[in-house]
Amino acid sequence: MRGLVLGLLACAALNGALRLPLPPPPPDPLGIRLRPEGAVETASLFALGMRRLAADLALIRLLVYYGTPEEPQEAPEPRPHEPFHPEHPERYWAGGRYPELGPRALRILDIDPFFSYAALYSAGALAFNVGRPEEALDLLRYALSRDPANVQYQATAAAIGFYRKGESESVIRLLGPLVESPDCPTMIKNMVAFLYKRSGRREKAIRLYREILEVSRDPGYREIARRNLRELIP
Amino acid sequence: MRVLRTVAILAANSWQENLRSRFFLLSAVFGGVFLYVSLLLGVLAVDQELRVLLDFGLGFIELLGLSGALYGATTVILREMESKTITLILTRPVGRGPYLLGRFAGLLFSLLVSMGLMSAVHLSILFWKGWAWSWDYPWALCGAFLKVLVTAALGTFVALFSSSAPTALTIAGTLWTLGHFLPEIRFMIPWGSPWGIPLHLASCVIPDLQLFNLRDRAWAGSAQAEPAVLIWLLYALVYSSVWLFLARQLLRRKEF
Repeated sequence: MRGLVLGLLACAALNGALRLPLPPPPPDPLGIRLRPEGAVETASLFALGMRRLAADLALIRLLVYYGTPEEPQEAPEPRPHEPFHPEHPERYWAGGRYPELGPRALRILDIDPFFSYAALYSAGALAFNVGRPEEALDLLRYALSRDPANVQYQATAAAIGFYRKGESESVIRLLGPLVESPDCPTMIKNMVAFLYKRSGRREKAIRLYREILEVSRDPGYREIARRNLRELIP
Repeated sequence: MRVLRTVAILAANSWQENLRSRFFLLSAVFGGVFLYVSLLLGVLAVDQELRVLLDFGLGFIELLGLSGALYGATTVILREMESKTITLILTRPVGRGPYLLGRFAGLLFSLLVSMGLMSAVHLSILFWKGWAWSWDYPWALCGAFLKVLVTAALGTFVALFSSSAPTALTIAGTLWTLGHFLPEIRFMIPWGSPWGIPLHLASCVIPDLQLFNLRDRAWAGSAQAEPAVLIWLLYALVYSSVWLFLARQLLRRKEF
């Protein structure tokens, strides 16, 4: 028993000494809120030290949620299957409101504040696809409060502002550098490529569509890129 | 010099036994299955496939390393004590300290090889999927190994202290999870008035496993991944040495 006490004291001294060169990080001022359906899974992964993995699973849930047609009571009005429109690819699978999109993205940022893809993807979907730019801006504000140095959030927020005013040129100017980043969601690349095409910047549009075709793992967006490339390169 | 030779012989013997053991074969099979699952999940994550592959792979390599460490640390010595094989070794000019150290070194070497093989498979999948090499990967793996090292040392002590493999497994597993909740435990201390003192005491002695959790920090941004490798290494070595020394003291008192 004396040995055990000595061991515990040695560990306490070691943990105390460790805090001198590496002080513990300050507590998260915003706290963490978990979604009820994934709370047990997320807490278990936290206990195993797998925070990023918990955020990954939450993102997969979000992607599955956004990729699934909504139930009729959730959608504002049942719509027939619409023809494809490059600015609104979600309508291709019947559109929708997806009220949980913003809250789900916020919870992902709670788990992993540096998961910029989740914030940019959800903000892009909210602002450019389902027509709720205010919610997208709220999400980006929250993301910026967690990761203030992230310039991608600032650029996207500004681009959403210009998008609402219909100023395509400003949107291109702001999102142009963003599409070069490997973390940029294909949805935003697709929108910028479309704006390039519409404004007559054929070469830039071709380059971006080619990139989507080569890099993106989303078959939907690859198909969009293929169609546009066929149009742009007769 | 003779002691080191004894330790090396015992470590080599442990390694051979682990190689023959079905557990390591099973861990390799499970590793393959989990990597397959991570491939499926990677497809679901669309643009973030590489991130998911990276996180799942590293996470499961660590979990399988932990399972191997806990199984080895809590069963090998107890089994040799029960089967009296230990007396065959200790009747030769082998001290109990070198015996323990040899067995522990053999276990660590087995884990190192097992985790190395799994990471080779993992890396080949990542490269196949177009991942660009990052030095954060070996650091994350190194952090996982240091966590496993600390937990294995704790497991060895608890096994000898409790003389029961299931109890030792449970306690070491609980310490593993508490080690990852240390920042949260420290955060709770000022809030939980009746539990404040026990929480404070627990936070003092539980190993800070979150320190080695480079996997979660490495790709989080440059400000997060501070390279304090020497401190991590020193902490893991000293913490493990404390519990191995206590395990040796316990073993010295045992009668066979």
